[in-house]
Amino acid sequence: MSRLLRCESCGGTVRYVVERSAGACLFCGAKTLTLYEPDTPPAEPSGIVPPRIQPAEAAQRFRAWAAGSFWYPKALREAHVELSPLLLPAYRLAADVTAYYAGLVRASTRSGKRPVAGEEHWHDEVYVPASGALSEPELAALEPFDASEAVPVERADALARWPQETPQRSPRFARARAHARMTARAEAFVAHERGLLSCRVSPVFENERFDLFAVPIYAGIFVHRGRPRRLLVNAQTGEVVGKAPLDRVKVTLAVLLAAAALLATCRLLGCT
Amino acid sequence: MRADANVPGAVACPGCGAPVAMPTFRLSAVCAHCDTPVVDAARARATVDAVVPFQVPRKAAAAAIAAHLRAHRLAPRRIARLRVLDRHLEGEFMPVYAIDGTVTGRYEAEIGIHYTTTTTRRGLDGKRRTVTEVKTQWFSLRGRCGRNVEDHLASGATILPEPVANALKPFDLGWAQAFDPRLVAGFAAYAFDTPRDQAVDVAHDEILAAEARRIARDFLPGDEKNLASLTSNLRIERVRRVLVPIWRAKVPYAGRQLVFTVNGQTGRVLGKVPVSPWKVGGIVAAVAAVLLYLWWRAGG
Repeated sequence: MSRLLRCESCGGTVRYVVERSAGACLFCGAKTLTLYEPDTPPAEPSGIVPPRIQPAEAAQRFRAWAAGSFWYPKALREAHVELSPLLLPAYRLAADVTAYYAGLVRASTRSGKRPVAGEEHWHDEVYVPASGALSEPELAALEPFDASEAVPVERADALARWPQETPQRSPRFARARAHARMTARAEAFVAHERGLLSCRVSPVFENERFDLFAVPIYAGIFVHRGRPRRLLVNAQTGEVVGKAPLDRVKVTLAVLLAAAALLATCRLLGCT
Repeated sequence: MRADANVPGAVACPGCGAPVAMPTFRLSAVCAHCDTPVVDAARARATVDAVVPFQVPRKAAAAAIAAHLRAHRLAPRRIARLRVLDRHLEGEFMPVYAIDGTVTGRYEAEIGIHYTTTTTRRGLDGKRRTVTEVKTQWFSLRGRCGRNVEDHLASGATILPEPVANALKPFDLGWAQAFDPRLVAGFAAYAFDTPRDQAVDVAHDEILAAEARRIARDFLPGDEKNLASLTSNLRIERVRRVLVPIWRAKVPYAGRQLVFTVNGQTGRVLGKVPVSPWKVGGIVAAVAAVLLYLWWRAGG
């Protein structure tokens, strides 16, 4: 039976791996971890996506990100953030899409437009995160992941020992999200292909196939003014995701300078 | 676990072995001798495909009802102070049919697209004025439409009226598990008494009516639209018999009981909250006073 580590602060749940499991939660840094055995074992991924970026390069990307803005505090630039490897659960839905569309196209009519309707067929694939510990904006910012490089779990010995978050979203929930994403993509695709000014799509999904994957990221916690902030790096693309704090001194000085400049301009122009 | 063939509908208590009478509309009960929860597992396994477990605990359901009461500004002041106690709440599993399918259809519609015309006219005073008018050009549009229907819920028992079943949505049936007596023990689990075909007929009408609304409101393009005809067909792919969790609260208030229903998975609360006649009267009086004042200012 697989044992799970659950954080009582943020609810983040990962599979317990003796040599990898840290004393603090990988998602929030809290030390309120509980070890438990679930009644039903969590779903196993059908494949693990290997990282393209090694920890050293991830740390370099983080440092480049931290130095990327004048407004970030010096403490962030000089911080040593330990980035831990982590596998996030994600569903891949592949489906044959029949998109019935209706929209408006430019035409030499009095209104300059006319309505059109039709249908398009194609095969589509989307990924939907099944993580419960990360927020929706964080997950959206981390994307995309390319599962075409995924290797079966039994052939990914080293990766299988990475801490792995268990799926917190049901396939049914993910399916609804996947359909919404496919519909949005279908609207953009049909509008572009058919040169439509506006387009609505009414899609039907058939021959659907659902697979659970584990996708790699690096996660770290940066504590600023006593408040932990989460930093994430997509281990495939190197994209850094996090909400960096702003340097209060710099912001205050900038506001004061702007106010002084405004006042000086008013005096010069003779405003009363 | 039928106890005795001579006692129809009786199930043996797993605690004391006494026969527990199980009404035909229930799948669970409590032993009158030792208070042990008893589940008619054999009948449930034959009639239920899946159970959605509770995700909202009793205390969270009570808190959700308290928040629902506080959110009603027109409710009497005493309502906000009403305490929802554990004993006011009963956990229940309601039988519903979850229907998956695909709707496809053909429509004909009139699509209106606005355009503006600018004309210059000479007025009575001899001056020329430019007038801009918004006109509508109408087109006919024919096409096809479709969508997948997932987990449309239809009531499976007369105890759960169809409007209540619809209002309780959504449930994430992805967490539904195969029937296990441990999931329903201690809760009131109701049996299916609405025939599958009857429930599917009701769902069929609901789904096609929703499709017509969706096409007319959201799908058709243009500034004005008029759906002339829609011929749609529902292909039902799967019907599952599912028990969904709800909390039912009966809270005593002013000599009567206020009844609330809480979705046991999302915490969504349904139920009417009484309105304070003083507050409503005050608002009506204030509005009337303002109108009277304006009328008086306007010269009576």
